[in-house]
Amino acid sequence: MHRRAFLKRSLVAGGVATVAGAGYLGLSAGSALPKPRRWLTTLDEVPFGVLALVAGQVLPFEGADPIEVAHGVDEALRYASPEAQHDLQLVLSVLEYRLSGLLTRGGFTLFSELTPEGRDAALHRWGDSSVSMLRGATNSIRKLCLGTFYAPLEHARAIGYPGPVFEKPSPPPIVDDGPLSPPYVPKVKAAAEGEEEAQ
Amino acid sequence: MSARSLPAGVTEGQTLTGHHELSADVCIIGSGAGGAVTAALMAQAGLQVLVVEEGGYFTQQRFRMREEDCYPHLYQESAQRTSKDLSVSIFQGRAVGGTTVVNWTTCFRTPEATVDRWRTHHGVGGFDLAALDPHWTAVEARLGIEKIALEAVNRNNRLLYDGCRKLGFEVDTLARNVRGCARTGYCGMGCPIDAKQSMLITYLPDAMDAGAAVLSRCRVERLELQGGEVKALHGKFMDALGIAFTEATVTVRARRFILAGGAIGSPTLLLRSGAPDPHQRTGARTFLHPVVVSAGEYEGEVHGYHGAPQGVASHHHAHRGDDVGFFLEAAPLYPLLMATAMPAWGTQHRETMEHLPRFAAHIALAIDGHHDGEEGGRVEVLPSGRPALDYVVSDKIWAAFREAQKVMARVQLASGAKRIMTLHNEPLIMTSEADLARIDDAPYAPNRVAVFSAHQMGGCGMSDEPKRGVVRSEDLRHHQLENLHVIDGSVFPTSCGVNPQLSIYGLAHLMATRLIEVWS
Repeated sequence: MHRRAFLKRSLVAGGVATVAGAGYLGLSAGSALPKPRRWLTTLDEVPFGVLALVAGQVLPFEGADPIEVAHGVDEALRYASPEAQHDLQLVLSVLEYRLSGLLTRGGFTLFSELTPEGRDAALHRWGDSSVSMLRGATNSIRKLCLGTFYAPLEHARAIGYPGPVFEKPSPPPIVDDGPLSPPYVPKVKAAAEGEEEAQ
Repeated sequence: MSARSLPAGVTEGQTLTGHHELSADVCIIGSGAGGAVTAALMAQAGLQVLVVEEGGYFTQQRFRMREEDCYPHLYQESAQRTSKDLSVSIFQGRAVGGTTVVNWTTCFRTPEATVDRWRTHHGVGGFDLAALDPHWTAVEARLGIEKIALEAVNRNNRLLYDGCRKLGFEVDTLARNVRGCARTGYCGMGCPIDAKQSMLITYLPDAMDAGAAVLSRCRVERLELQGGEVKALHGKFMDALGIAFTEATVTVRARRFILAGGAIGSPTLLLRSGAPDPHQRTGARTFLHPVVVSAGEYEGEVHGYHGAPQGVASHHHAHRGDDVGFFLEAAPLYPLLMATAMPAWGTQHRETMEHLPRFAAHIALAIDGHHDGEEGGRVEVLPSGRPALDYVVSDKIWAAFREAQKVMARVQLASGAKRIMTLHNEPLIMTSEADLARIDDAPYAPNRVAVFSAHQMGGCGMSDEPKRGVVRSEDLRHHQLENLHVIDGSVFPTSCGVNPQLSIYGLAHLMATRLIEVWS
């Protein structure tokens, strides 16, 4: 099933819940969702909270801070297309909904109200779903969490990665409207300037 | 506002404000393998050349061998791009110099069988290997392309070599575009010592030395078309990180336009511009050399992140009759890359990662598009104007993956692997020849096993028959637009069957030479 078709189905599920008029069934999120520590760049608070819970399942060990991982993913998503950002928000929200719990977990419990073991089982169900897009979405979220966590050198070093073969000095910070690199001086121009100086 | 030409050198788009009206003899969209070579030759021929590039102008001082920096700065969508069904991860460069800034330096001339197929099956009559030969020779000299010595390959590659040799498979060292390479291993993050002869430090400086201007952080929104020609290019500038648009805009008017945005970028711009496409060829037949990985764990450390990322290749299985062929290479094991590639999560994933220094990663690249009915994918445009690639891995390719997985496992066992892992969601672990039969039962289906691509080709295929291609093969001119040529990997009618960068360089060198002759 293609992304749009999957999302339409998900939206239909959400729509059914809304029509049912029961917040218990539908689009309300749990109060136990982790809150962001600072301003979010792409995600809304509910998908952010769900993402933090997923990060806790993906990286369940000392040194991994699920909320910081979720913040890292939120920032990384700035580079994604608006459509991909939208789809990810939707997928994370759907994961939390009671109705999707009924459809994919066999119960009404919010994702955020599941035990860690329950959340792990829910993710495995999605990851092993017969619906390809659910598997793909689970993989995407998993990879975003893992990539964000292992990006800093100190986290990679903790698993035996020795790091680059030599250290380079930090470059100047990147400024929104500033140059990234020193200007390239074409040889023709450099030669002409040299001649001018000589005169 | 009257049009002006930019001075030679790089103008970084994020530093500009307001609207700019620019002019040039030739406007080249994209600064990668196709655009840079074309720009250099045309500027050296005395043409006023302007190169427009969406990526940022990152140079060696910012190449610090850190994944956290390189993916957001140098890759499309921070290396998160996927096919539409999420099943193929697509790695593609986004920088001044294009993918050549981040590729793994592997260079092969286009195989004779591939060029023959283009001629016999796709109406490509405009050139042959003999025509390309002097152009490849020129590029190889400029880029220092030479085979690496077997003694210089890292253990990750050596294991592939030794395993293939033991099994009697053809295998050899490969050529790389480097000078003074220290084999740091970080080609994929921008060469930290400028040893890699990417477009950033070779043909683009050649172009600028001859007077060409390069305009970075400029996304071309559309081509303005009129009377069967491109009249102008309209672009928007982006901030330094390439995330948001600034208020600054540009219009470029030129006598001729060269589209060199790559296999996804070029068809996207044509589609976004409403370019005539009477036979719906724009975006069609996009190929990926889709990849599956075999991760082998060895006694002692492999350190697959250090040393030249690719040093050997085996094309023993490239031609498999009616079955899709594949070739074998090694892949570097950068931690972030491996963390996202390795299956599972939680403690299972962590345990795998803790063995990272002892893993070798070998890859099989399927040669897509070389069989009747293998149509590849199609580039589409999302409502936001960004590209989407609808690429469905065919049954023939899944079958090739299954066979390739067995071949790679045998190679790794032959070279001493004690444990071999596939990248299925539920990984298949193999420790002996007897385990290989389990591959037959493993699921090869979308989003059940990790599939990657670093080679995007096609989408603006060349054919001398307008109903079969977007450009004609003699000069890569668009069939419906008089003053537009497409010179990049998008013109390949099939995948190359080898890493494509040298194919693009050679074709660009040939076509730019021809166009200069005609125009003069």
